[in-house]
Amino acid sequence: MRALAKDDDTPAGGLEAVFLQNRAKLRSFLLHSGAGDIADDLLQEVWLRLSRLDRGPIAEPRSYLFRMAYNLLLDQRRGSRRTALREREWSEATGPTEPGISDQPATDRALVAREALSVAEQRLTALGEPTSGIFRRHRVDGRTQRAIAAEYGISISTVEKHLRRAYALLHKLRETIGEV
Amino acid sequence: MTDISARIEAEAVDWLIRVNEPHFADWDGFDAWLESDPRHQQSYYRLADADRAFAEDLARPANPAEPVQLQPAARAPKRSPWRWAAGIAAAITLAVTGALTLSPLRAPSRTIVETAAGAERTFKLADGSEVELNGATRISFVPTDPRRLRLESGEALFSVVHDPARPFVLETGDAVVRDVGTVFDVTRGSGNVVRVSVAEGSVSFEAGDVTRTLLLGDTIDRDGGNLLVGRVAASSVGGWRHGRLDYEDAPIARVAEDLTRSTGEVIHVEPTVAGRRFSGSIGSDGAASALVPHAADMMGVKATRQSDGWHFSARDASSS
Repeated sequence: MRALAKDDDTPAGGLEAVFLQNRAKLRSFLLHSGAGDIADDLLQEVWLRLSRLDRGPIAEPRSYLFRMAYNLLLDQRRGSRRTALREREWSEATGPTEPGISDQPATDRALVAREALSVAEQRLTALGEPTSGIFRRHRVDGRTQRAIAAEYGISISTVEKHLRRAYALLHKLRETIGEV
Repeated sequence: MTDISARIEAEAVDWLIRVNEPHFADWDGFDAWLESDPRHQQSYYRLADADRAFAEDLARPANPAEPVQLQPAARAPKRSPWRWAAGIAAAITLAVTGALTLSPLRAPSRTIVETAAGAERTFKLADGSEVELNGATRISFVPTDPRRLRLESGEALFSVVHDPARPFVLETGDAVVRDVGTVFDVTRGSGNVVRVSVAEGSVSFEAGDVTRTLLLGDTIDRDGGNLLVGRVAASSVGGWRHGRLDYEDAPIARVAEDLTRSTGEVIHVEPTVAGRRFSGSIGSDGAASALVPHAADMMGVKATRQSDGWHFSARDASSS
């Protein structure tokens, strides 16, 4: 058993205050993360979500807000990639190829990306156990390294070692996978 | 690749591993690294995009349309984590749907079924499906669409009759639980919390950009932006109907909320103990005046009765 609560747990109604105090910091974080013009839209989305919550106490409210902004940014990046892909598919279906733009049809690129994902998964499995299981426990099940270490009966640094092996794989394949 | 860009790529991986830890808190450090060189941002987020796509794909099933009937799955002992981990990877599926769908505006003529805290109620739908409501629970539906219910607050156990032509749909908050023929328990708690546990069959759970299929013994706990997937004994799902509340590593704030639902007693939880974790079984039948302090004892907190209800706080002699 561990105590997660801290003395500065934010009671209901306080999360909005934390947001306002940290708005500038959140904004510059999004800008440093390449959000550009949509940084303010993302902040607005965070704000909207806060006001829809019925909240109980939240430990680490500042972290919670950054995490929310970060996730929304990743969502937005994927959304705009998919929109761009759809638009390319449409214009390729309806128009001639344009000079300077890859001749590989958008549909094919999406297929390649999906294939790359299943290759990635096979390669992850090929790394064997416990690496493959540890990575899935971490990324699919969302367990902390500490919980995984306890479950496997190994040290946290060993867990991290296994994670690095899996992430190295991801790093090699990121160009094609990232297209999905 | 030059030495510098190799270094940047290595740093990006380091940061990704740290950011992906559920309780990561060094956002300022991360921000400072991103700011220090424009190549950092590009390198990191390309990797993060791929990572996200990969993580979602890992959980996608081979045959999403296949309904699965499972024997009650025993929890693998802690000594064989490999088998358990492989089982989890096979049992969980994930697909991405897209942007958050807001709850639709309420249709004017929804039928409401609700209970006061401390009460329970069962009602049957026209197709024979049964809904058991826990205390302080409110369910609504449009009579002309009896296969779609909304859990507005509280907790209920759904025993849904199989009808592949008309999937049963449960909305709660921004989450949607879809089912074909199953027994599952759903809680809509405070703090934008949605919990689903499956006792039999399978359901699909959607909220925001997350869709997951849950099978027998799976449980999902969605708290704001955090998603926790776990396993429970199928027999413990909906234990509140039998006066039994089972917990594994649950925050005390949540246990208190469940106790309120079952007993009707107002319980205030001091922030200093709200996040402490509890594992164990609490009986929820019987006189609340004895039950609440007993539960507090089990959880290692002090219970005092005041004019506005019970208060759970830290015991004087112990510290966290």
